[in-house]
Amino acid sequence: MVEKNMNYALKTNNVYVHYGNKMAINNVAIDFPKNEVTSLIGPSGCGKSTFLRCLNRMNDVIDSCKVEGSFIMNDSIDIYSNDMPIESLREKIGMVFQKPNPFPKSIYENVAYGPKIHGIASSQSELDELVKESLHRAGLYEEVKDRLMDVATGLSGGQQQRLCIARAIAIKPEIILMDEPCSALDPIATAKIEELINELKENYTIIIVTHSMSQASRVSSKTAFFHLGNLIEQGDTTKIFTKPDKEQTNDYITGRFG
Amino acid sequence: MNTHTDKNFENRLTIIRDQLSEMSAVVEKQLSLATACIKSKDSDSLETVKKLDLEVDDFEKTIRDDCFEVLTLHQPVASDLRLVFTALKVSKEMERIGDHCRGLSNKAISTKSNLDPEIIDSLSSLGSSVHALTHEVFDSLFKGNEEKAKESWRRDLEIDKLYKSILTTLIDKMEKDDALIESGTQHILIAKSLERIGDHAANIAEEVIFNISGQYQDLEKIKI
Amino acid sequence: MTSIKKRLQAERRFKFYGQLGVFLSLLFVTLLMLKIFTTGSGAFFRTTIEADVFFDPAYMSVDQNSTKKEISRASFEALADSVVSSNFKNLDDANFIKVREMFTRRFDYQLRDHFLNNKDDFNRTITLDITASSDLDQIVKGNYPRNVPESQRKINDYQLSVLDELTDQDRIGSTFNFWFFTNGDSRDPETAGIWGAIMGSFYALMVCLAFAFPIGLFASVYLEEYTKPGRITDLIEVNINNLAAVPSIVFGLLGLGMLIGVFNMPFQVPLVGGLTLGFMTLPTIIIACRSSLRAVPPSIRHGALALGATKTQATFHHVVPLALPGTLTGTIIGMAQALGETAPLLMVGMVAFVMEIPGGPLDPATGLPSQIYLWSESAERGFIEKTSAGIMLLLLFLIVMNLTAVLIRRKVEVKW
Repeated sequence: MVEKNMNYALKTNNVYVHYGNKMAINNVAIDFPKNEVTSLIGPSGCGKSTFLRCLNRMNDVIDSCKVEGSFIMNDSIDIYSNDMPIESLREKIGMVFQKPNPFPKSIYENVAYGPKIHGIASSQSELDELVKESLHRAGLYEEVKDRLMDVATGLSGGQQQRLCIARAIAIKPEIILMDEPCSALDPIATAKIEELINELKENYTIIIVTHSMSQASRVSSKTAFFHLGNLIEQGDTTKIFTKPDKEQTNDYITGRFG
Repeated sequence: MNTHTDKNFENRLTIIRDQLSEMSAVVEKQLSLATACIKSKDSDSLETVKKLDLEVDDFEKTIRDDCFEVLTLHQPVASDLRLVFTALKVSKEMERIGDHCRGLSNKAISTKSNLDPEIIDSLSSLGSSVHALTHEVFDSLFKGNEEKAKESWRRDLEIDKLYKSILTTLIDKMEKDDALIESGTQHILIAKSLERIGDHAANIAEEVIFNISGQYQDLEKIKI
Repeated sequence: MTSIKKRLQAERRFKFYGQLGVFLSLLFVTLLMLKIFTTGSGAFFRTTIEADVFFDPAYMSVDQNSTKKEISRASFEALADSVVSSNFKNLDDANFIKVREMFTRRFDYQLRDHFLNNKDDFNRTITLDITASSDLDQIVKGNYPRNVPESQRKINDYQLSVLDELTDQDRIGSTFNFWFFTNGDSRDPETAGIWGAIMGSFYALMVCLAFAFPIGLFASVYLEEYTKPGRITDLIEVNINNLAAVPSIVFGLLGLGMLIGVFNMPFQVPLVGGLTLGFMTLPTIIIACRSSLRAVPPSIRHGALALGATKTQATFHHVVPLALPGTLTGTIIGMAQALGETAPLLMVGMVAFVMEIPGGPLDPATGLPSQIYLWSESAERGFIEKTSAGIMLLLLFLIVMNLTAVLIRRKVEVKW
């Protein structure tokens, strides 16, 4: 149960996203509570991933994509302002992708890359510590401590995804975005990642897009339901899964869509 | 409302709903016969009530097993979860009502009544009120009427009052005349059964309110 | 039942056609290799005549105390003549010339080279295996027929008789012709070597690589990663693809007109030849590099960008290293193609008779295929085997380069 906390890591309002002439997101406003897990659910093509990508400006990579709206972080930073360099933004807001995408380098190199380019560690030993700590936090250290120089693509799917999480937290972000992080994983790996999310929320705000409603109900304290680019409902997860306000929401989560 | 994409799931829920509906019809019939027994003393009615009670017990078991299966295999949420949850609790309450019906019919037929006809009439009237209340509650359950359920819950308070007055009258009579003690006691028990049926109906009303609103409400504090 | 039988029969037939195709190809390749090998193997051996050499002070202008420089400058022709007359007594002038012709024309060079390394043989007699002339060499190898009238032979009857006599005396030998690998081109087939052409090709390829690889790599990265899809980019891409199909002689004309005509670069040097080959190879490298860049999945780029890398960091830290094996393979194949090209070199003058071994990209040189071509055009019979030997060497280099490309690809191949 989410208490009435007034602390929001990120507030969004009047968000519109277009791909060329086609509208993908239609006037969405969501506030994301700090140090909580918020899940975005909805059927395929409803825009939840598009919305997620707005939050770390990954949509900038796509030429035809136009984003409008206000995105304010910590009540003070406008994500889309010209004063905010994208690289600094992405230091604060990290992302984990659907299919694990470790670099084809060593495990150490993967985790060390972010800190290196941002100049976070001032010495080699500091960097080593940072890598070790990140791998610990991601629950991967014990499994790989003897083979940090092995190539990352030799790990199993679940381990690779935890590596991607370690990589993301190595640059000490405030918010972590996860785009269906478990959809390519088996149930045991999924359970490990969900447990990890549970631990991570102590220190980070997590926003997760998921296809699985049972996952949303397991990990998140706040849920937002998208449909065809519109935000139908957002609220406390328990409420959404006991008695949602909108019939559309009820139809979706009980499996009456289609 | 749309139907589930998973037809198997849709069927199971429909079956549970239908079973619950059939069970309520049987319980109502039981209650009607049982309350008639207070005045009529018809032993055929007693046999029917006993037979119906077996049906009610079967229904409760079937609904319980069906609900468990749905929980295991389909992990329902939201409205579906509330339906299953309600079906489990309501069927249990209905089964208890059935038991009380059987008990009170048994007492009504086997007890020689040497009480005043007035008292028998009030008992009978209590029975009718309880029957009406139960009918209303079942109505609010299957029509999804939250307001009606809240009203029914309030009505039970009146039934409690009615029971208390009959109780007081009977005790009074028994104090004054020793010969009335045996049948008086039996009729107190009959009245008690009716009052318990009213309570169970009120419990069902609470479940109806949960099913519709998604929350258990503190009904004593709510004014209609 | 019958349909299954028909399908299986069709399977078997198809398999048979495939095997037949492979077999025929292998057969033709084997026949070709055999022909080249049998013709060319002769080039690796040369006939020698054993002679007693007396380093007679009377015919020498230097002695054991002379410096290397002095010895290099001195003439050993008189000594050579003296060796002939001392080994073959009582020759009249006409026969003397005939016998002298049986030895290599630059017999004196061989004597000088020996003396340079063995100054103490001054005034001493030693036995040396002197290289025979090309005509004699060919007769001994059996490439010239012996039983035809004299007018149809390069070796006259007298020389034949001397040859038979020397053969009886066991003074006709055969030695491994390492000159083939160390000498430059020569008018005399017996002393002609391929080293000059190899060095010429080497310098040209180095220039080609140094020019085409960096430009090709950066152009591809720019086109693939930085430009937005649009008409101009499409136009550039179409043009690059077309350039890869342009006949190589057109690049030769470009080299001639632009490098030599406009920039006044020297004629006949590997620098110009290399740049011309570079123009030719550039489209190949760009196409290989672009296709490798495209093969890198976008998830890698996204992963790097999401960590806060700039576009350039993401491209050069992650994408380019992954595209490198494919690019290198394409480059090596491009180099192998360039190695075998003659037409562009023709226009810039690198198909010519060059005797000296080039010391650098600015010395006049010829290329390996050009050398083979020149030898094939020569009237001298001795050059036939040299041509085939040259072809063998060229094929060897091509096989090695292509194998290297495959090995590099295998070794650096990454599994995502």
